[in-house]
Amino acid sequence: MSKDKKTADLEQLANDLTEKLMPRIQQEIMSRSPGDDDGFSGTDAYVCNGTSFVCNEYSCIAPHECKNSYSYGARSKGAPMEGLDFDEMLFTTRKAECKSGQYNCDASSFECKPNGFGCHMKFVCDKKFTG
Amino acid sequence: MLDHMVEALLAPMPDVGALRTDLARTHGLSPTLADEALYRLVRQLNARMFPPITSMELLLADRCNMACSYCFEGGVLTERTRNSHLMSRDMIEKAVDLLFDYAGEAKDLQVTYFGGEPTLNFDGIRTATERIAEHAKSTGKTAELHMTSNGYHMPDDMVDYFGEHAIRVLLSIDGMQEAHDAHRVDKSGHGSFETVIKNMTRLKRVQPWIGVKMTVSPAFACCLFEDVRALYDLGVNQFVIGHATGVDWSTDAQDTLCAQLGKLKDWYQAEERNDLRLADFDEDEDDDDAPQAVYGCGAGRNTISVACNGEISGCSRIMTLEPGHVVGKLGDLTHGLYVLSERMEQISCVQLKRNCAEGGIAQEYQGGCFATNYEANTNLYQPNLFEHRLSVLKKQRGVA
Repeated sequence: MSKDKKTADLEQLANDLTEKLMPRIQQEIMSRSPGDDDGFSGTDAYVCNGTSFVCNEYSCIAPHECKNSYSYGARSKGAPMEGLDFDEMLFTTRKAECKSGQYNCDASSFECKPNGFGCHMKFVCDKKFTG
Repeated sequence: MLDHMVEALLAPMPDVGALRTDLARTHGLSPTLADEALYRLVRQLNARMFPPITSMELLLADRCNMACSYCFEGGVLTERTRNSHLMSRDMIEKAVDLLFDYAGEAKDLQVTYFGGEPTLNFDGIRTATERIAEHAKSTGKTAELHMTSNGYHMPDDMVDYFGEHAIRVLLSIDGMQEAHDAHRVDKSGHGSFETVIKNMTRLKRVQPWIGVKMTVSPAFACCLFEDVRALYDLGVNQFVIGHATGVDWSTDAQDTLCAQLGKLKDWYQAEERNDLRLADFDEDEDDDDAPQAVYGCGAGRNTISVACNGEISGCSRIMTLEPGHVVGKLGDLTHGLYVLSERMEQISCVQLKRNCAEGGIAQEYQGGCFATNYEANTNLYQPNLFEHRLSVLKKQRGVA
């Protein structure tokens, strides 16, 4: 059997297992009672693009593609799925100079992503970019 | 079999050996192919359940050429990995492959070369950089390269390589000579300040914007303001300032630290400088639109850290908490991020939030750093109350 065929077969096996396991995993997560020490304190179930996920008293665990695209309780809106990359805290520019959008600097372009810590941008372009 | 797999995969520490055996038996796979199938299954489950991984710390060396008195890594990594002091080519390639496997649709990735001291594995830096470039080209993604270094060993060919490949080096410098040399010494006990500043000057040829990670200790909190100004005069452009943890901070020392940060903030904000950045003191003009403060720092959510032996955790600091095992382990390079319950906790911070709420501090504190929590309580998700008090003090003084 060729390496490509083996790889394709393994990927298909993983696909099949994932499809079979995901509903069970979600059911298991949601069945765990509030107050457990294992982190799964599920109480409410929601649906996004056909996928259900669980919310609890403090946060929601949703598929990442559903970020901000579904409605749920105001008590946990927004926060849990907003990732802050480690290095975005380092080489960033001042928020006052950074608005959402695409910018150019020298021959390269970069995307400005306001996220509470400022914008991540090409390091060499610091303070020299044009919108 | 499926129910058994679910139970196994959601266990606090899944038995990958048993999972692999089940897969091999059920699907007629060799142990190697069963490992690969498990890797692919785990990757798909992560993609369905969690955000993509966009940032990776590669601990390219688990040893260091210095002997800093406060080093949080100490001998922990070396003790765990025994003879594998440098990350091997095979491990590096697997780690980079894993990052791109877990990046999903994310286009912009980051890799930080870390250690120990990453410059001790220059071959590893080149291997990783080449592998990342190959993946970036084939996938259309971008990958920024960073490195955190003590700046002690940087020969010209290395500096040139960093420049040619846009590897942005963040230097660990704790202040001017007295403050820096008090803790950051070489193996002979000699201060490293002069060497590091010389290397910084050479680095500046290829990296005009110099970033410094500054760890302030109680004894030198009083020098913080003057030291930042002096380092700025020497060519440092950006400061990431943190306080030393795991040491005794008296009330007076805390007051001194806050007063110094206040002076620094006033000086920084008094004049717009195009060659200086103190991110903590940049005015937040979009408060109304900014997302609410979040628990967790990104560790385990978008960021992972890979040790020389292939074990994976949420960040390099978590990796070093215990010599015998990885606290909060997320997986390994052979099977991927298979500890699903741990990743779920680091993303959702359910326990951390609950513990903050029970302690009555949830309104003003978002749980702090997992690693410093563990140092205080041997629990990643039990807030460190000293860190909480210091954060409150900083907010009261307007320097947080």
